[in-house]
Amino acid sequence: MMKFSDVTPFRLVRSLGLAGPQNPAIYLLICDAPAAAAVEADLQAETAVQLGGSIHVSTASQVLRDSLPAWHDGSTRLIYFDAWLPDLVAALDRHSAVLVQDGGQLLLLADEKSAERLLSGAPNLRSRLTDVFQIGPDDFPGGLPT
Amino acid sequence: MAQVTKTDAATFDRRQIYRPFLEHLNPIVLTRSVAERNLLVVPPTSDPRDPTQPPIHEVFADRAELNRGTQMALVGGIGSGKTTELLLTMDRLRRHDDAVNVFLEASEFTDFSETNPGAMLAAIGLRLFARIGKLFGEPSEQVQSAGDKLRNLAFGTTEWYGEPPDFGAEPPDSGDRDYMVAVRVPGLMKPRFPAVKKPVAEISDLLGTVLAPFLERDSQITVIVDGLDRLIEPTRFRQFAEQDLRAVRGMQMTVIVAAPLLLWFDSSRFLEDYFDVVKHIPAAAVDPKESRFLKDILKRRGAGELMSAACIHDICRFSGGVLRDLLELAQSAAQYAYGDAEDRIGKQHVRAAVRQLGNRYVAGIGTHRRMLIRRLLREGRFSPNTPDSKGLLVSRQVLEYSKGGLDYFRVHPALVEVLPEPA
Repeated sequence: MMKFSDVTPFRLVRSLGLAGPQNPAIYLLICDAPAAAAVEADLQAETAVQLGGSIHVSTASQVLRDSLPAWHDGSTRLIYFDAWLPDLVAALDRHSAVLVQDGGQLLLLADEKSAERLLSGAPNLRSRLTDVFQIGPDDFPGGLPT
Repeated sequence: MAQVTKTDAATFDRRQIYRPFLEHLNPIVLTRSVAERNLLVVPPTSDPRDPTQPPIHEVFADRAELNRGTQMALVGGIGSGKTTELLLTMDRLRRHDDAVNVFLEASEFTDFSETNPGAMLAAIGLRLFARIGKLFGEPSEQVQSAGDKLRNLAFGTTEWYGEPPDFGAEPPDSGDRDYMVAVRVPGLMKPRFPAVKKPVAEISDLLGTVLAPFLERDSQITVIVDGLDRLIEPTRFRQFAEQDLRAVRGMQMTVIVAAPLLLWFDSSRFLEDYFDVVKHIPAAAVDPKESRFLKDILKRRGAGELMSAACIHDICRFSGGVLRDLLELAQSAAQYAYGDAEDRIGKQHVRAAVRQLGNRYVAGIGTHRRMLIRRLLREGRFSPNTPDSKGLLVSRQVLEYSKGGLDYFRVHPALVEVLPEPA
């Protein structure tokens, strides 16, 4: 059982706002599969309210099928790991240096098992993660790691 | 707690305290501008493995200036500061007007998922070709043609046929060599290195043509290739070295590449065989107990205004000397302080950041690797020769340090903080 600090969509989006749109960041967000849709919705809502923007959401399967486009517009993207896709993780690892280099924020949303595999199997990506959080919908308790 | 508080005099916005600090700390931003680097980077004053030797970027630059065509490799762990050294090398090389420097990030020219010999040469050729117009005016017909062919080879072409080409078997005509089929009978003497593949040889010829205008003017050409170290698995890197790098030997173009850490621990001496100069940055740039370097980096980026000396000390200590972790810890602690609506970073925020980092390192460690870690902690014994121990080094769970030419190993201090006691 991994013990990362908890965060709510509200607090996470506040962190994104703090860093500013031109400050690139990659977050790994751990969430139980049943709560993923609610988290996505809360993140979208908080981004609209706090930052006046939106999040481009795709599933890992879509990204693998359509290829991950480069983006340099400072926008926020979320990839939800709907399945464990080692090819995608390997590609993210190899290209980790250019994922958000020119601004932009990437949120990787995965269940605990996928997150653990990602952390252990993608050392380049892990090294470039801004932070790792357990995330739940907005009524989730937030706080420092224990 | 509210983040924005109205006062009589002015609006207080806590983001303005932390945002500049976070921007200066972001470890995943590539600071390519020299001005930015002067502001943020504390250049190393010596070789990390030998304090009596000059820093790596000086060695690389001096060698590139004096011995054109040298091939050099920089090996180091993830986040150890290789890119910074390479960028500092670029800065130093700019001191001569005739220097033509190309900085390539490997992701720009290949996907790595398959072997792609020749891609790097094509990328170098295209970058140099793009400079010819600016530096020397209109290229010659021959150089223009080579540039066009390189572009076609790099990006591919689409050819249109009115009807499908006829690939039907024609009877061989002994007078026409086009129809002759080569049958290779292998000899007893094997070449030491595999032959350069035909497309690579073709691209290197084109690159030679593009290089000609630079060499006619005696330019000092240096190509720096970053990112090949992310191949992790040395096999693919070897293929790059055996094909692309070997094909440009003798072209008077200096090449400096970042190589995977695993090759440093490889018993085949591959790096020494292929490269004229090999430099190694341990994952931990310095031992935090013995150097002020880490503190200077944090202070240069504004830590002194936001946290106490004790907090800076703790961040340095728990970074283990890994530069990316140093920045990561400071950034993470600042985020926690902001989240708590504090104007300064406190010990509890640093502690939280350390635990977060440690938890990342603990994730996914298998039983055997855990045993190796415990043995290192308990008995101080660690051998970097097994796949599991190499894996621990690549993922920075175990850090390599160097003192007086001797390497020693320690478990990453942030990992030690959160490592569960054995049952």
